[in-house]
Amino acid sequence: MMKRYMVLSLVIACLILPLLSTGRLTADPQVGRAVRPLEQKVRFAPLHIYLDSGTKPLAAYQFELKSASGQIKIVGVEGGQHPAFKEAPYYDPAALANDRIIIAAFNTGSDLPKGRTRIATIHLQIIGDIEPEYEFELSVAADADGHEIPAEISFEKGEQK
Amino acid sequence: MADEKRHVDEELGFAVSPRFSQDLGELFTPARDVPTDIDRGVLAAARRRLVRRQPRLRWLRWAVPTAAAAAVIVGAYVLFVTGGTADRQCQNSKFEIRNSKFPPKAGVPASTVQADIDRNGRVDILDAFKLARHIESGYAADPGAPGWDINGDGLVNREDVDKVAFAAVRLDKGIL
Repeated sequence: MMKRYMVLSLVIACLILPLLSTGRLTADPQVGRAVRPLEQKVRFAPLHIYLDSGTKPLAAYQFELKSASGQIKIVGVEGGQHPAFKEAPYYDPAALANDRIIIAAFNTGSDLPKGRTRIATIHLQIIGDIEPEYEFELSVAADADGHEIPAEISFEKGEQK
Repeated sequence: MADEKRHVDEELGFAVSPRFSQDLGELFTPARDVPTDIDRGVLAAARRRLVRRQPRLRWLRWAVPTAAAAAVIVGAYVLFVTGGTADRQCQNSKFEIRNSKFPPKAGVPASTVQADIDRNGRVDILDAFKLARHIESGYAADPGAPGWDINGDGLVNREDVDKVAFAAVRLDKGIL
């Protein structure tokens, strides 16, 4: 009797395990494709983000950063240089440990930066020897009246650790 | 036999009277032998009873594990295949606050419509900025103001601004 139950349990387990693994692969291929991590060089570097709004005061901005090549992980975000954007900007916490982030901030005050100003610093973990390349997309920049203004986004790499 | 017994009893000091020994013997001796026919009858009845029960047991033996396996398979399917969808639906429902004044357009989530303060069809930081400015100007407190109570707490304040701003930077909302 016990033997039969054991055999039956083994047969059921053999049937269910492949089904479970198939379901997992279907739902999230990244999990199924997990490979043994290799010993890779890891370093940390800040990325200073600048926005040049020309002669117009900058009251709000939103941009998206993603890695075009290389392997990065976003590990932290901090505010900018000017008091209007000194506080940490809005971002999705899900972006941490990811390679893509949307960052935004605004200020309704009257003391706003003009010209080129550092609006945020993104702290990155760079994995491997390949120097990553970044893609920036400025979604919007606006003046104190909420009108969209032309602006140019740029970045500077900080000191690596 | 009687001598052996007497010998053992004497050795152990359990000597009993012959009369008592005889009474005990009569008490535990079967009155008479069970006839072979009755023996066979009892055995046959027992076999019939056991044989009749076997199919039920066999059915149960297969049905229980099969039902358990089916339950596990269905559970796994729900968890791994439809689970993600359910999660996403839950996440989206965070912003599913209906706005009776601005009913959502077909194909546009109600969340987007609610957080799209300037009604330009996309949710970005300018929506949060404009809501913040409306609040500072006192217009948001106006009873005639649009339904900007994003978090549904009955107030239009900084928390609603934060909610719109976080909706703007959410990664899973797609391309702006």
